[in-house]
Amino acid sequence: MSETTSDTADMSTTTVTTEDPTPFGWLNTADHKRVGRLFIVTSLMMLALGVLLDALVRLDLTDDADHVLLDGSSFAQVFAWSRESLVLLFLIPIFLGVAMYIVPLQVGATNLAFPRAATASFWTWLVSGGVLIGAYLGNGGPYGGWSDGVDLHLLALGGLVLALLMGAINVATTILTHRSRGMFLDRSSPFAWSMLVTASMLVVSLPVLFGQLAILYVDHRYGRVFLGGNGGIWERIDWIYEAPQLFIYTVPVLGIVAEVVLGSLRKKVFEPLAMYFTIGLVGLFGFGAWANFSITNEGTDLADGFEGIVLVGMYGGATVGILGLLALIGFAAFQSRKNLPKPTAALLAAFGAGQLMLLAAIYGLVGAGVDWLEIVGRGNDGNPYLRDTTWVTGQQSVLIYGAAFLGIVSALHWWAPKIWGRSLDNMMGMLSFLLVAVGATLATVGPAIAGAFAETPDFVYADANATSLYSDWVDASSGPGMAWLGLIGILVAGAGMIVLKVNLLISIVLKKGTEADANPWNGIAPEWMLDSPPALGPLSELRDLDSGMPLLDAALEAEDVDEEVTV
Amino acid sequence: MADTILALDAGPVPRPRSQMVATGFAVAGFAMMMAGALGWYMALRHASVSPGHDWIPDGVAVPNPQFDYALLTLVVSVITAHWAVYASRRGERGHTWLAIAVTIVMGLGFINMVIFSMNRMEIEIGSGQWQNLAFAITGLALALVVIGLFYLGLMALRSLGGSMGRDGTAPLSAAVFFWDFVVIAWTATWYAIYVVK
Amino acid sequence: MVGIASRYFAGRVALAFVAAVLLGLSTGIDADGNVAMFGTIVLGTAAVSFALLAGLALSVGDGDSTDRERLHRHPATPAYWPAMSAIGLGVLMVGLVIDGALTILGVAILLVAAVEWTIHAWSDQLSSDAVANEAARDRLLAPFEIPLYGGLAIAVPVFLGSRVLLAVSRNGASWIAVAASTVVILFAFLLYMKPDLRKPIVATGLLLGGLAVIAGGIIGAVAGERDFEQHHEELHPVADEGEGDTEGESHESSLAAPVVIR
Repeated sequence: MSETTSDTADMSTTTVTTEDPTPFGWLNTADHKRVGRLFIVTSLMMLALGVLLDALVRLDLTDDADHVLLDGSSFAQVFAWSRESLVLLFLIPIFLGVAMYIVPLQVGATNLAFPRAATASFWTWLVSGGVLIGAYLGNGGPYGGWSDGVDLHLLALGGLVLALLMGAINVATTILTHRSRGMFLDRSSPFAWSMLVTASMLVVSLPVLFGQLAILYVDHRYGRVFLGGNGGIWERIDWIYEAPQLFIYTVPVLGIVAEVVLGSLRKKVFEPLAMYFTIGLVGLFGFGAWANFSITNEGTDLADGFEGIVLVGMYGGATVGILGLLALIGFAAFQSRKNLPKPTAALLAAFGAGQLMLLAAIYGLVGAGVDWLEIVGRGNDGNPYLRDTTWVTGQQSVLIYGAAFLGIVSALHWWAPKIWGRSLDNMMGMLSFLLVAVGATLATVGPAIAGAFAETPDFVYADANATSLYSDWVDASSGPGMAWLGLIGILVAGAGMIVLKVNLLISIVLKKGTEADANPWNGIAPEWMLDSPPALGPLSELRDLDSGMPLLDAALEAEDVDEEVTV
Repeated sequence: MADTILALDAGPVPRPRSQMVATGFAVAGFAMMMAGALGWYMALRHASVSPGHDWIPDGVAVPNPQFDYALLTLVVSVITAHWAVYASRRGERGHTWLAIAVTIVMGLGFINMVIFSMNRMEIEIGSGQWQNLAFAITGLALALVVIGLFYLGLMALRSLGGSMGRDGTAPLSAAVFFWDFVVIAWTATWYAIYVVK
Repeated sequence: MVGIASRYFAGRVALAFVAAVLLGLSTGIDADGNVAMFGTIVLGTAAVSFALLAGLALSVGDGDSTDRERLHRHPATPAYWPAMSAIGLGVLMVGLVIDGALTILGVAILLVAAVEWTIHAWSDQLSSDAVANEAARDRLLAPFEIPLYGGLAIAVPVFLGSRVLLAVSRNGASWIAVAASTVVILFAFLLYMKPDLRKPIVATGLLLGGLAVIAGGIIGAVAGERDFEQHHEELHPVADEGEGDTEGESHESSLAAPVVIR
């Protein structure tokens, strides 16, 4: 047992309480902790919508000759809606919520750089999400029959992008300008660094969509002159829901993996700069999904070949980055092999999330490599590119249902004491981890095999009907079976997240979870120096931190002093 | 000899930079937005022009002098905007207000000239590919100008409240930085759509 | 010292620039020398954006900023303007598609929220005393807020209530008016009888009432006004000008009509 009394400094967390403690206080809050909680809880609720819609899509694919529940046009609508819900209503906002809560505590700030802007970003996101859902329900959406609804959908997407960018800029500005004196960025917490990478990549990628949305809106509303009606919309915006862009959204998972594993081991990596570099590399190579040349009809053989090799390079770079990070963390674990911590839900989920991120990168590398060989004429002629098959769905599954889900399970189990003051039930957490891991594997394997061997198409822009009825494709025999596998996978993974939500309900809302002290994990990061949870409002004291692992530094310093005294 | 420890005076406290950093991020984002729109425009133009088709419809005459004057107005407004920052840093309230007011008036004049020029072209939204693109992208650029003017106006209110001097000018500096970007964004739009054609 | 963020962003500049040049040279320049390809333009702009971010990171340095101390001395106080601006944006979005009047309303809400927010942020910097700051803010804005919000507080319920009363039948409107006024009187009576009634209960009651008015008003506005009986001219012949004796005849009802006392 380490010297927790010397590790855990008695930091006053009395706050400047201008916050309204009544429920109305959630509307007008200027406390980053409240905004973070709002994002986390609301995103978890929106997740149910995304999983349900995706399940409907996959159910329809289980029959290659006829529709199951949907018809041709509603299949396209539900397909688009599921992607938008999973990414814009769950994936990006939930990590943003965790960052809004934790990052100021980690860098020594008393609040986010622009607290009211954080509140604005949540409410704008919620209102825009409501407009998006309303547009779809009114038969809007990219393939809708209600013309005004299609326009409303485009505007809602713009609102969502604006809201998420506001939040991302807020977090990035906090990290750059509100750090404690002496806390250089390469000494900051890995999660804070990963959020800076993610936020800066979001700022230079999502606005490209905004520019395209403006043109799409004007053309669709006035004459539909050159986009061919609704059909031209989805193919120009779907890049934000696919890899490699998805890697940008899941960079925080790497930060969470580093935080949880190194925090549990109470160890630093032997070369911290390498850790920051590898995380940055993954974010960097997620950039460029918008450069989908086929959508702008810029195709030439040279462009195709260039695009192919670029994709290989991007996935290769991401693989190197993730492999490097896992190797660094693995080496730290090896160094602590005689003193390994007890496996907890947070630790297992972090471990699983890291492995699935690596799998996603290798998966992308294989797909890009096969396609590039096809382009340069060294593949099997006549086969569709993997990127046009459900191989793409498999990659989305491993990133969203695998890495992101496990990342959230890990993050919430690790930081629940700090966010809500109570620990989540570990056994339920283990069950979450198991269900999500198994489900994500099935959800990935099914579409991967269907795409690679049965050449099941992913989504055909011109004719959505062709996707859901693929009996005309080269070999559809194994398609339905693999579709069932994928469907079962996402349902199992979804069940894992339901277990997480039930865990939150029981432990936090019903207050059955163990009340946490300041540092229940014996963690090393700055947030564990504060009360669990810190009281409402900004902290009353500015903390001077010079690293992202001050508790470990203090412990090591104490050990050195003891050794000197002994000598 | 008495030992004296010489100490240097502490340097000036760094100016607050949050607003400038956030504005910088916003500028980066808006730049990518314009790149997404203009890039798509150029790609579509190339797809039309390279096989030998016309791009701008027959009968559409781009009023170049008007657009040139509009651009010139905007460029001069950059000077007045920076004049406002210069005056604010020296605590000259009157000059600050005058400079901001002139900048805003120039911005409004610019918007008026661009709308006049669009009307003069007698193009109708929805009547063709080039028309829709021109309206959409010009609209985006004008929206940026409006946001820039609004930002300047709001920061002018803060200057009115006494936010001046070396430290207090940070918000106005951020607004002027954004205004600089707005001018560059319009220049790129003007060049791509109304010069390259 | 060049921090890790600056180096990271600078690395991105280099990569994006190289990619833009390669793509441009291979496919992206047309015969006139203009950059023609989407990918080249976006990559080039990305390089510039990364350079901007690198410059910002460099200028900020590492951990030397006074921003957090400034925020700590002048903590941000809660405000409704962020939520109000979100509502304004939502109304604007719906208005752009459905109705121009809503667009104007959305823009107006955004404008008001932006001005209020700016003044609020300015007042937070005046001193460390939140009460004094709020007083300064009120002194500046009250002359505008009181007439504006007071007027809206009267006009909006009246307008929404009128939509409800105009949408239902004549008798229905009477009953609704009677019911609404009864509820108000009963609520006032309850407040009088129980002065210690808990604030959340009062607030909840007011909130539910407000939501009912809003929901009813929106539904009434969408449903439209009921058909009104038109009084035709044949039933009520208008007396010719100059005719004095109108015995036995009725005049067209009009506020401007002469009053005949018999």
